Amino acid sequence: MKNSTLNNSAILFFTVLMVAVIFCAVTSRNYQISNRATAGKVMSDAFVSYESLYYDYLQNIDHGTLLVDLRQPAYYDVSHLEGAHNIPFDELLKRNHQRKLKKYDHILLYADQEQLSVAAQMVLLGTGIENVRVIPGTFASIMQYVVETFDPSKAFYGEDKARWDHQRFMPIGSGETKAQPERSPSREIRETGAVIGGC
Amino acid sequence: MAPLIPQGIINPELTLFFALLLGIGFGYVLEQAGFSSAKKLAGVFYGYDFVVLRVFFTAGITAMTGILFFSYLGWLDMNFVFVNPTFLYSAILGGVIMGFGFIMGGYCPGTGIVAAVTGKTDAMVFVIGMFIGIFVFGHFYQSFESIYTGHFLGNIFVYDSLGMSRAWFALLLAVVAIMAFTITQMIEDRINKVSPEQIKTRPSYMLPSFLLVIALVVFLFLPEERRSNMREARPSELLAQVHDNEAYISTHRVILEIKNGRDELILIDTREQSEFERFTLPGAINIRADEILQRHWRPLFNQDHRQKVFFGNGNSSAMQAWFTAARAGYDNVYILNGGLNRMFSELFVDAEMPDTTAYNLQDRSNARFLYEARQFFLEGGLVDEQADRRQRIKAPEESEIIPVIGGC
Repeated sequence: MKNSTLNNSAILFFTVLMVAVIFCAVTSRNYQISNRATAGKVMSDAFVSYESLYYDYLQNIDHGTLLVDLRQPAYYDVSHLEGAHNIPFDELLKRNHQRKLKKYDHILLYADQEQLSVAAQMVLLGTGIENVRVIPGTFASIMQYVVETFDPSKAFYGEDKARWDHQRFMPIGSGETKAQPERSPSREIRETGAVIGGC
Repeated sequence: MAPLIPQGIINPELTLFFALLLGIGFGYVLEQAGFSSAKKLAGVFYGYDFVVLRVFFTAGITAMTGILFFSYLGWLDMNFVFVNPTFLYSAILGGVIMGFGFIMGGYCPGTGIVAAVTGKTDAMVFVIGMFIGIFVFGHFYQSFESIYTGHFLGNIFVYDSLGMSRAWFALLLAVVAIMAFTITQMIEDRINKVSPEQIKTRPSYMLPSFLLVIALVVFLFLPEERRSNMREARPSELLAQVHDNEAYISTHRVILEIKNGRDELILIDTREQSEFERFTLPGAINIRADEILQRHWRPLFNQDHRQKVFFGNGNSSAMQAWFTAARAGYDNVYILNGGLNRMFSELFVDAEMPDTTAYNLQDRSNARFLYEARQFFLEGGLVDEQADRRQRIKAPEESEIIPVIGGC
């Protein structure tokens, strides 16, 4: 091979890679953690239980922990958890709030709807604030089961638990047997075949 | 995008055709590099010709740089790339046997065949010897099996064993390769007694080496994986959608769809698989938040004209799934407002009789609707006709991973 051909192909290869990297950097959104990593993280460790909230956080107030109240200021002014800091949900991305949140080792979120805390957690994870967890339930349920009197039967309360026996109300399937819905097809993995080569 | 065959871009039936093309290309490169000559190949052991080391090292680091960048840029999915598993005993023993064979015959297996094809008699004898070896190994495989499969270490990587990061290892390997090229060239020149004038007229490889090092230094500063791409929605957009309640679909709409057996909604159960197996809404499929980004669900989410509805028991798991899907840039995704808990309490638990005395006509019609739906479900309206009225949404089958084992 001529030396100039080698040099030109090296320059071409290098240029393509660098242009692609620069393009990626320019077109990327303002996230610090990838979507896949965020989804994996919330699936593994999203919530703090009421038991842990009561014994670990509310009993001994730790200065590395920040309680965040995501409700609107009007509700916050009426009542809020002791030591909680008010960041309304729609202002989460404001720079001064972000700066404050980054200072803490642990952040616990609560709102008047559980899913708003979950959404807030995912927004914060995306912006690189990693130690965020959600207090399950709503502000009202936290007050009722944890703050006023701690109710051990609600130690692992969550809005996302089934409240009804679904099959009893809405029988699905054929015949008398309780038919099991098909398994999700996503989990059927075909056997892999191998092509063996070599030189 | 790549690898092309497992991703379905190239028909898998053409595998062997492409194997033939690549084989011809590989043979051509080996021949052009001069590897059909045993003298040239064995030169590496005697110090008069290091072209073998240079060719294979160059190929290795070029491929490495390409793979690192391509996988970072999303052009190559490393999950589909076969990593040769390490069996320590057979690797050591095989290396020793191959080394002996190489020094005695003057060829390695691939170059042996290239040389035999170009008409070298010694290479033909070498290839016959190779086939005898294959036959003996195959015939007495059971005696060798414990060695062959001994000390299995899995799909390990050198950088993991060394406790280094991938990027640093790549840079280190490239620097080692460039140093090896320089040093072996000096050894070669001394043994062949090349005059300084000749060395001066030799082409310089400074530019490619320099670009390689620069590229790998750039790679050091890139994160492990890309954090976002241009299809993704911005955090502020997602926040606004949740805040303005644009992410929700009402329980009534979903009840209506289920009752009438229409297929306008794609119902996606975001609960755990055990809960899904116990009960799910008719026609629903089970995808948890961390499974949404799997490649084989992409065609499902790309059906822009159908509304994709996530539901869990409450709203939280559906919100996790919705957020992941919406961030990934999928359109027309919604959360069943209140999840199964609210749907079942509205339908079956809260109101026993329709409130026909309500003043507001909308309330009365809602109550009537819920009453009819309740009767329909309680009487097992879904039981008999379910099979006919709903086509279960099928996920495409998981792509096959076709491992291609090769090496020289």
